[in-house]
Amino acid sequence: MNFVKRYLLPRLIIYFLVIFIGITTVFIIPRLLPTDPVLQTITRLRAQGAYMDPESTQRTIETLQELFGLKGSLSDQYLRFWQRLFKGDFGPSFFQFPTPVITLIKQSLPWTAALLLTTTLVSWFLGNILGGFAGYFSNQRWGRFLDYFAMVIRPMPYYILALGLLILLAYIFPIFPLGGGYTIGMRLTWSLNTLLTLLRHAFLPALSLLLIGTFVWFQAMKLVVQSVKNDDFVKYAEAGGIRLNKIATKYVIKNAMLPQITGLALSLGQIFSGALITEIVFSYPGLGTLLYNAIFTGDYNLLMGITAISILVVTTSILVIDLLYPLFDPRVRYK
Amino acid sequence: MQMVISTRELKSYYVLDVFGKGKVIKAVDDVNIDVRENEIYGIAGESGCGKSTLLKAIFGIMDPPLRLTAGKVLYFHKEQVYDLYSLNSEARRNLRWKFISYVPQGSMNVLNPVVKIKETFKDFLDSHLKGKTKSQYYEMAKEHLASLGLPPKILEAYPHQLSGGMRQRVTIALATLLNPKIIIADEPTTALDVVTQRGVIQLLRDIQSTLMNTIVLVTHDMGVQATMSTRIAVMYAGRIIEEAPTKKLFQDPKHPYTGYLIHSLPKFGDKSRRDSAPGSPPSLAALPLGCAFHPRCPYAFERCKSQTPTLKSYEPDHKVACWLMEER
Amino acid sequence: MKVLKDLLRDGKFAFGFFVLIFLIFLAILSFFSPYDPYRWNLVPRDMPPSLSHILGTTSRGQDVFWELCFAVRNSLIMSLIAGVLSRIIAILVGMIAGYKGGMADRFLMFVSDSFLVLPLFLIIVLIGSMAKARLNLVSLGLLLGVFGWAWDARVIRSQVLSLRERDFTYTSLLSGSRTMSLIFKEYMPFLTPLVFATFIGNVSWAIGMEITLAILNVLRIETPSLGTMLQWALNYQALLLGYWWWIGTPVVTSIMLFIALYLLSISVSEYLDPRMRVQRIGKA
Repeated sequence: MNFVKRYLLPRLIIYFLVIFIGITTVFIIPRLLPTDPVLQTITRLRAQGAYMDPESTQRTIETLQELFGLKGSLSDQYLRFWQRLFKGDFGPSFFQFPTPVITLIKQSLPWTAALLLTTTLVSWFLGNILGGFAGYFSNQRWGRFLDYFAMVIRPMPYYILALGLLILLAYIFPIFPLGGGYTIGMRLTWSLNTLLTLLRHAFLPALSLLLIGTFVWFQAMKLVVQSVKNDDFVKYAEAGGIRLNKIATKYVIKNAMLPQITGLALSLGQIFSGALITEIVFSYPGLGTLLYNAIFTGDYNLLMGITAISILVVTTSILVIDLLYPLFDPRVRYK
Repeated sequence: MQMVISTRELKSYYVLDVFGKGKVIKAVDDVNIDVRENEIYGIAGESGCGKSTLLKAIFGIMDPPLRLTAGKVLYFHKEQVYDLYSLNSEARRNLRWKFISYVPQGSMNVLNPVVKIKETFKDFLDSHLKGKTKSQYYEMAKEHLASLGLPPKILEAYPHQLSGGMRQRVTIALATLLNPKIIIADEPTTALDVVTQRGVIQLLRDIQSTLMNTIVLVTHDMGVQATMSTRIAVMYAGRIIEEAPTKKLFQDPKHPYTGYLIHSLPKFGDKSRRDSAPGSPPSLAALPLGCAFHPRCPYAFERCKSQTPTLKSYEPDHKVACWLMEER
Repeated sequence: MKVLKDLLRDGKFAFGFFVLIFLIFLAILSFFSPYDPYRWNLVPRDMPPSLSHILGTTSRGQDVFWELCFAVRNSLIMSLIAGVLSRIIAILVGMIAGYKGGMADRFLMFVSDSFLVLPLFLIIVLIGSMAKARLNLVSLGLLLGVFGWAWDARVIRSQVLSLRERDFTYTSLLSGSRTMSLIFKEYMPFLTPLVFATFIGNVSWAIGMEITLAILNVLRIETPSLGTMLQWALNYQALLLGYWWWIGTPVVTSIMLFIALYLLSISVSEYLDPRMRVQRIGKA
């Protein structure tokens, strides 16, 4: 009961507050900026050669305002924004009119989630284990090799790394496909063949994300280990003649992991930003590509829908990690 | 008397490089001690005199910038002599806890905070023993705690759930787990309140009288030294300046510094002012020439300012390093 | 000066420092450029590097070398605006939260937590794409400044929390110093190195963001910068057409800049952490 009050409740309150602020921001931004989406759409329609008399223009403006949720006073708009949000209704997409935004998101989300969640988790584990051992056994040659490698990979802009991989492994040595999530014209069925095709297409984007991710965690972990390995309990275990491999895993890594768990939660906040570039470079059919199209076509409903959904997904996964944290740290569990 | 540990001309220095300028701190300088079987050997002195470094050198746990500069540490184990610093790390590891074990200073953070106490016991056991199952190790830990009169249920606790005194007792239990011939205790009572101190001292004494092993006790607290140790070495500025059985040392201190240490202890019924040595201990990085104590010593004369006295026996079992002894 | 001399002895710092000096030199050189970076077809198009155009020319008829000077200058100015603005916010938030504690602390840390948790990048893209053609480098710098302070404010706060417990705080409070003057006079010297280290990291982040946003086409593309230079080259298929000097210049320059900033920041933070320094000596 005490645990609920001291640990769970404050976190739940913050969770809902952050969602509230984030969604409100998404609502406010388009209304603060000087561009008028309705006017822009009308201009575009005119530019495409549609002739409109003043009456039908007025009707179009009203319909558009309805679709953009721009009708009525600001507080009315805000209330309706939330009402629609609860129903999962972000209005129709303009770039694929009249498909609802939520349908497009539902189609793209699984691709992004599968690619990004897997690579984020795998690189987190890999980077922490490697960084933990390399940090503890800091005189080993392989550790120093990884260190230099990290120093080159780490500061490279992700875009350039991804492009380099694509040129090398799909263009110069055509081992992997140039892009896409599956072979064009292929039917997605439950079979081994489908799975292999999917994996082959996901390989390069996953590799680029793993490379960057692993070395980011590698370096962060090494820094934490540098201080943990001077802690009294590690020095004591060494004095006690406990085997070094056991000290590395059970004493050093297990303790140094704790701040990294918080780090993992924070890095999930960047997951959709990562998806954007990856999916553009490898033309992967996920939320990032959808977002890219939304940016280029000025599809405001889609943009707002994607941003709102990612706020929900990210804050929820951070909450989940936060709630799992006490499982790893007994000092939080029993107090 | 059988010896268990002895050091030969042991020197251990901190070698620092502060922005290109070399700096040497002589934390342990020319130390010769012989620790015998079945005794409690006390090492006393103010903080910063090098006692903890001496202990690290004896135990072989030196991290840079601390280095062994010269000398030897010998272990006498099962009719054999081991030269600690010529052994490889695996051979050294094998002597730990079976021959020599260690009770650390300030048990606040010495136990792994994310595992239960029984896990730490298990790790110590299975790193030194072979071919037992997990539950056998837990059983051994439980029996060991019971034999020391400690509640076995603390095995299921995490370190932060125990009091400071209980954590210190756990480290003592860990140190005696494999029945070593010698236990090194570094300020085991310093961080504790007076009542808990008594309990910990009692536990160490009980262990020594039942197991008949040797304890090397490092503490600045002359009161604790008086109640526990059988023989005491006094350190000043990295050197041993006097060594004698406890009774002799307290009754007839030869070195002026030892005199000050003993006279600063409160006594029942005596309300006169306590004198401690004037001035403060010198920095180990810039020691005065000659005897390091001479700037604070009221009896100092010319010779003390230029020549360093060595530790010599002037009476049976009583060694002193002081030029006053030659004058008498 | 002595600090700089000490730092230059570290190879990592020396490398980063000289790369940065070189790039600043390029930026200054842009003031003496013979060409206007906004005008096209001033020189023959698609020429490989030669004596008259040392880094070649673009398909837009611009000289790559002088274009680069402008790009470096603009990218540096933009990232400096972002870095300075976010430092000001981070210092104010960190100091007030750390020093005042209580409700102020809880509120400010809640705000910075929200900034850490929200997908800020998407929000920046949202703003950028809606304000398209109005997002020039100065407003981008300000925008990134507003979004890039949250983590550093936390770092500064925890440093202030530990400073608050030290003796001189009480001494100067008891001797009648005003709170604000105490904070700035007494704490700043301790915080300066920390602020400097996070500043480098923030500048590097801002330059990376500029490149990303340029590739996403949400910036004003006429203004030369490292990002827009790359974007033009990609738009004209410089890679496929083999104009390596065009696409290679911004790529190599930005990689050098990132490595330089990265080495500077790790070298400075190692210098600040005496424990790491001792370890380095111990190994030698």
